Amino acid sequence: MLSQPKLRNIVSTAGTTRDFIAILKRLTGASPADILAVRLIIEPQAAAAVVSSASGADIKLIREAHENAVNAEDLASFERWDAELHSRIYTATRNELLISLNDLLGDIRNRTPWIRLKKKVITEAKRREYCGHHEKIVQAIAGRDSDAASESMHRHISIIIEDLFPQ
Amino acid sequence: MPVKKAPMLSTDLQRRLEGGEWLPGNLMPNERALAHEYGVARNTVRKILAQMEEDGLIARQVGRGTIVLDRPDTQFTDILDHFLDASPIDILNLRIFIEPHSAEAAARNASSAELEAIIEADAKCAEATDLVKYEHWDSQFHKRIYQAAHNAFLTDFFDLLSIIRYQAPMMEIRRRSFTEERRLAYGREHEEIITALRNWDGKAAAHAMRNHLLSRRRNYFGQ
Repeated sequence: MLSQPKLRNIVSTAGTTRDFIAILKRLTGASPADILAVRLIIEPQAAAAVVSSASGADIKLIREAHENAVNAEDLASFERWDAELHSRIYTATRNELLISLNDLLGDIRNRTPWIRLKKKVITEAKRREYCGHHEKIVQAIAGRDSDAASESMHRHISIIIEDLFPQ
Repeated sequence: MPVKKAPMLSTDLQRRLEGGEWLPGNLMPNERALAHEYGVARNTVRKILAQMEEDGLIARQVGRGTIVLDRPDTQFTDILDHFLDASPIDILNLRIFIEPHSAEAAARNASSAELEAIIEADAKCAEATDLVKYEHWDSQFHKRIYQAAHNAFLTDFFDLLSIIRYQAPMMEIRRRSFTEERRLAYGREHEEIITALRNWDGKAAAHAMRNHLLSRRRNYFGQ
């Protein structure tokens, strides 16, 4: 008797399941600069896309995550709702691949060096500042303004990059 | 399409291993049996098993045979499932998000050797006499632009996408939509990207890349 295969078998001319896993492992070890550059490319466009793809229920969920982040009492809880807000924006794009990419990026951001860096950088004042950015992003999405959604997200990520790695 | 025996054998053995035909802790068939089964020289089998051993898939022990090792990769099962379930249009839409930025970065970061490599891939596209070769070099063209953009995450991510993009049914979409006229149009679009890269013009490179991918999307999905 064969046991249930644990990993799905990929039939592709460009590589096997093993190649796929090897690349995933490499991706999780990517440099912080590369990861942040990727977020800066993708998230503003995701926010703009959500303006047309989000349902009313999606927007409610996004706003709820934002409000929970605002009311968070400690850094851990803020972090959880902050991540949830970004993740609900990705979910509202309805793009399976984009959602998976965000899961992967989230996985990477939960690794020790990232957590250590954020603990050092994210002060009470920074939390309030980020919540201010989130407010603009949520308003733009709810107001169905794709330019404003993209611009406010771009600004938000740019400032995070500057905070984590001051030039 | 003629396929080299060694890569085919290697892919097939990995597939059987991943499919659970030989379980961790158990023995795989020996060299002689595999050589007989696939109709190849024992030496060919030996080289492939050596590679698999180096990759940590199996252990070869004198007197015992080839033992299948445990794989610690199951943490990626969910991520892998989700990635593999992405629809073709999701993939193309994500490329439309990312690749114009890569082209823009490549205009700034490409060394002349990297630029030559991009141009070479495009020339091979033009020479390709069948779809499989064409697709291979087209993919190389895009991959080399990623490499020239110098973001390691995105270069690896494109490799990941390629595995998804070249799963079995996807080639059929390409075959149905591939005409000589479209091929010529893609060629002109590649030229525009190359011209922008040569001129270190990031904005034009981003614009040309976006146009190129949008035209692919129209041809595949009519939108």
